[in-house]
Amino acid sequence: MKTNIVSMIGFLGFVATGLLVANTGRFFAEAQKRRVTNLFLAFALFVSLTAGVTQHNMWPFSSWPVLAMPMPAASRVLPTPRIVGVDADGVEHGIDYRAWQPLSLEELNSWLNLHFFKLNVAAQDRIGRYFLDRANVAREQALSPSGLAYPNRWLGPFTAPTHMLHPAVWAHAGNVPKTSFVKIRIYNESWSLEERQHNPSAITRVLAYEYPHP
Amino acid sequence: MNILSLSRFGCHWDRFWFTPTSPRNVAASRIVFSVYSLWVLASRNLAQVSGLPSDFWSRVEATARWRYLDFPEHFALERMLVWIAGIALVCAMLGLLSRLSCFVAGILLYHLAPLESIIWIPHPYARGLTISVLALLTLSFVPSGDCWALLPPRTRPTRMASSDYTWPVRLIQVFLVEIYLFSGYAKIAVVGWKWASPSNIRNWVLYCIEEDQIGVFHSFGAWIADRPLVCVAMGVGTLVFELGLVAVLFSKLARRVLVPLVALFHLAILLSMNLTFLNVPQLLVFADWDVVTGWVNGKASKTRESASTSSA
Repeated sequence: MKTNIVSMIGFLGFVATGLLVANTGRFFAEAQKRRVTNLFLAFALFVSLTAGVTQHNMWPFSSWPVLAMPMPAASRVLPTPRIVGVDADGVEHGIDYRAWQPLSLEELNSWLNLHFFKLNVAAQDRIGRYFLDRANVAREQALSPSGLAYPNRWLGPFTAPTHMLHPAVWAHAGNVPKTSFVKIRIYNESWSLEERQHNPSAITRVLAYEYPHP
Repeated sequence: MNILSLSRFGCHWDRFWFTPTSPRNVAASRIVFSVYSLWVLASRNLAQVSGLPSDFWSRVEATARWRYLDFPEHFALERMLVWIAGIALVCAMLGLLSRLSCFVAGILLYHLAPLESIIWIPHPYARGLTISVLALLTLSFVPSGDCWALLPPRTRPTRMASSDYTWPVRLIQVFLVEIYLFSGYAKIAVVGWKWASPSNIRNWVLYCIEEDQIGVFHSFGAWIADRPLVCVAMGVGTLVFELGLVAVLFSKLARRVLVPLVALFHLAILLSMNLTFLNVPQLLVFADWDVVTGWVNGKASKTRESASTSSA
């Protein structure tokens, strides 16, 4: 909470001093204008350096903690969620990352890890229903002649990628399940990096959620 | 003379921020940031995040919502704001009411960009619009439309060198360099120097190529992971590069050598770890646009000369 408030003050200060700079030309002499510009620059440097040095993310003054954590050899501490669709025959299918628009897969997976399992059952089921609907709508789009859309249909493959690349598993209609999903499952996957390097299927999967419930 | 004396510091400060330059660099920054931001904005469905089921928003702190004025169930309003931001960016790109359009775009991107991640984290860094917000607002405080604009302001003499054209570009360059500086610092502050150890780098690379929801490129990462010496070179090189990039602010030579290397650095990360860094086009603000313009004009006049010679 404190970070949100301090960050907002930092941003408002940046805008306010900037507007002062923008308007000094009309009212002040050159020397005073320079002083106000110096104040703005000092403020911008102070806020951005504070965010970086303290590693408190004061977006848009970011602390940029990119990959700033150790990666354990076995990724069991923070399992990776995976949503799969289940057809009427009980067969599980992977779902294309574009199905979850407007959410990108990394935002969705992070939200699942952090918040989904803390929701009450009714809220989880509303989300489960949403996932099932989204997956079926996306499946139908993927089977249509125009295919599953990128976030921006006009830009198509020139759409700016998200921070993490994701394979478009439904890029070809042949890979798209032909029948509707009747169920959604969320698995938590973990694996030993060493083992999986030699055996790609060496994954531990734990069923974390299912909609509708069995 | 004391190297740390105030007057000496003042001289360095003034030289860094206020050496008069032509309006081209600040105009180029305006165009680069507006085109780039428009591309990222058009590539996301930010307005739709507001229309997600409210359960997605249930864990978002009230202070985070009020900080950005981002609230659920305002899809129509957010869609309108996305359109206004897009129009403002087109105006900024063309130099129509540059100050106003940069300001509107910067403020609206501050409001819209967090929608991408707000359901779990209120600071959307590394998603493409962080520096855009700061850069567009900075450009809105200065006459960035004095050059390369469809509608330049009438009140200002154009094409004269001024410090008003220097410090905004310098500040944007500082913001860009801070990405790398803080990124390197964060690795050392959180993990320590062992972040660069071959085992840590190897694990990161392996994770990024084994996680099949991320993995698009595999072979380059696997090649790196099999070679401890390459891993250690990658780790140490990353830290040295990220911490050393600050040199581009002070040295022309460093700018010429290191800025193109940043693009290569991100290409290597993309191919080995499947991680993109969209800000690469923003590095164009390190170019000297007077030199680029001179070079283009020289080429054009040479072409005209040779065309007239051949026609004669």
